[in-house]
Amino acid sequence: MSLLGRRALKVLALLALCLAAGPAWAVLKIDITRGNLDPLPIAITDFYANDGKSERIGADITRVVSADLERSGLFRPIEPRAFIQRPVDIQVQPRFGDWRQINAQALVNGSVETAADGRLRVEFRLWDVFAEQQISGFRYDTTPANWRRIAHIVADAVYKRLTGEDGYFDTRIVYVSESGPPNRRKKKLAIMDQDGANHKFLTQGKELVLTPRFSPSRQEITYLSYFNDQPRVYIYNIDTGQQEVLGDFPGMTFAPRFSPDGNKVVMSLADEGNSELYTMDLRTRAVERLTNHPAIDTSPSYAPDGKRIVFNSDRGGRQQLYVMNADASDIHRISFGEGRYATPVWSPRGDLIAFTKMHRGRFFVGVMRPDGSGERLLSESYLDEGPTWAPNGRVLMFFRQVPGDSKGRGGSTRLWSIDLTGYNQRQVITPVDASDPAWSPKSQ
Amino acid sequence: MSAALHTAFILLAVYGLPELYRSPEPVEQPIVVELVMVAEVTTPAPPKIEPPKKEPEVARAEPQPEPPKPEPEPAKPPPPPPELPEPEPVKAPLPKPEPEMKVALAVPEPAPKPKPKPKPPPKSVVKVAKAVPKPKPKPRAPPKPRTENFNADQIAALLDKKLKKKPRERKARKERPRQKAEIRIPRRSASSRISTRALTMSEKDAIRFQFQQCWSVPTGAPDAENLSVRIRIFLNPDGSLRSPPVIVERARMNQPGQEFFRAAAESAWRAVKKCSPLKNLPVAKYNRWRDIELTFDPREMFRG
Repeated sequence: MSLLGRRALKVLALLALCLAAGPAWAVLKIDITRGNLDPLPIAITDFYANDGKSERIGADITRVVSADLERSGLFRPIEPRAFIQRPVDIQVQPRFGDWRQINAQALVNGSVETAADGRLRVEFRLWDVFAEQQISGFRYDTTPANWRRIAHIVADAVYKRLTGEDGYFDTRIVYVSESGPPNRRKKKLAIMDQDGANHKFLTQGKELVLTPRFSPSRQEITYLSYFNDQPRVYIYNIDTGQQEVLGDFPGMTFAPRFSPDGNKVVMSLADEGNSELYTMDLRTRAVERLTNHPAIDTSPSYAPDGKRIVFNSDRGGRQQLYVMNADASDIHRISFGEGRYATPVWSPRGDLIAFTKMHRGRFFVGVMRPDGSGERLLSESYLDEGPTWAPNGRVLMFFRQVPGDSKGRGGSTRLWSIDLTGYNQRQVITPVDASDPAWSPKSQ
Repeated sequence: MSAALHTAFILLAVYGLPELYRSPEPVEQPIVVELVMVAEVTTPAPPKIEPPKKEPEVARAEPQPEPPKPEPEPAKPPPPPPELPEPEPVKAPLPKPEPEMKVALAVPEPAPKPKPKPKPPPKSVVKVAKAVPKPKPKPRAPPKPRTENFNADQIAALLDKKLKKKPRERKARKERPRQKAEIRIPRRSASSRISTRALTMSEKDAIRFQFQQCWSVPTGAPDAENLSVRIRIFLNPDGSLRSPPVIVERARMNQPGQEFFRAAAESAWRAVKKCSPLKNLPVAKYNRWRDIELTFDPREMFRG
């Protein structure tokens, strides 16, 4: 065979080999870039108990857990009447087919038991219905009076396991409760669980109280009150009820905010019309000045790592937000939109700053990233103000005033909460009008 | 001289003034064109071989269909009657409605399966029940009933019609007038009917759309735009999962600090489980979609 013929044969053979390969299958790649925003359907069953008293507590725990998860907007508890398996049977082993049939994707069950010494033993399990396995669970021993906290801890555990975020249900809200006619408002400091339970007044309403702030590390709040017509800052320990005076600060309009380690507070003090930022060490009571500018600098808030401070200043001509290092170096502006920006609060997650914005007669509560980008307005109304973050940095609470008519009737001021995605705007139920909410850190 | 100037001015006015009011010519804008493969029919027609797939749905809904049902119970086109043999004795529907989905072209169990319940259930139940009681995974029925049920010619006819409908992507326009004229039904074996043509855009979109309905996106996580999850799935010819879905970055899920990724991965995994079995997949192109890697990327939901 000639050389050419042999080469041709080789080429032909190679070609034949390529073509002879059977139908191959490669992996098909498909991108899913959209989905729905449906809340996760979850079945929360009554906690099983052997005796009547524990059974009542079990039912109460279930009710509180269900309400917490539903209020977060990320879960949809399934109507208990649709459940097929009974709590006593789930204790042995859940029949996952039954739960899939009612479209549950997760299942919560547990048991409550009163020990001989009166202590409550609560056990809880979280199941993934599709994977058919337990994905979370714990057991708690505590006093029976503490059942609400246990319920909130259970809700936190479910929330954290299924969304990856820390829960915020074991927290409290401190706010200013208002009552009376608009020209003679009676303001009292009040505290309640984040679901509205265990409501308590902390002051009697004889003096004006303003802007409570929570410490991020301790169960302490600062608030502004007037004594002899002078603004005075108090520190109040929630657990012990002890209260002490931080000092008299003439011209102060906002209470100080704590630093993340709880050892310092940052505040704005006005002196002859010029408002500047100061820090005070809580242990030594030493006051240190941060800003030095003829413009009004006010409303400071620490970043969760304590290294930066966001505040509100009109040094650029209009009220805008500025960020600086904790030692007051590198002051730079971050907000550039139209309107006026105020009351900035840095998220405990560190990724966002919430603020109040005023534009064309309307008020907005919004968030933006610490570099000023990604500004999003979450709510709008006649007056929305004073955002405060939940400790997981996911939910914001603010107060909204609805104006009364010309005679001053019909108006109201209430607390509202909203998820940072802009969904799930809900009113927080308070006995009377409310303003200036402050969200506690997670209870220790 | 004056007349000449006057004339020139008049001519200028007559021909020049309209120019002022004419709008400029529109500029030619280039139009960007993307070449994709599109099927002749934009929505893939549901494959006519429905009855075996419908059994599970019927079974789940009515484990005890006592009253005799009307014929068109399966609620899909009528091919079932010719495929059904005479009513089988037996097969009472058991209260546990978990039929074997693997029995895609199910074989009716012939008499040799002794069952104590002598109720004569209606035809729809027959198809249900024969899937239900399965002590052994795949009953090997004698070939005779199989051929009664499994009409290869009919399947060939249906499949080939579908094949004909999907034009060669390169010669789409030329084929169109020809297709309507000749609908041949050649006898071919099953293997050669498996097409190696790629899935068209509409078929991929059909798959994508189903997953979009099932996937609840975890929003609100910090950096949520960057939490994309890849999942491999392996499918049976009827669209159901052959084995549990595999998350490609499994190891990352259990690392500390990756709770958001774990939540995102689990939400994608649940979406896959919820969407199974997938519907309306072209059986002829099974080799192309038996192994799919899905990337769940919520990036688009965070725009704007």
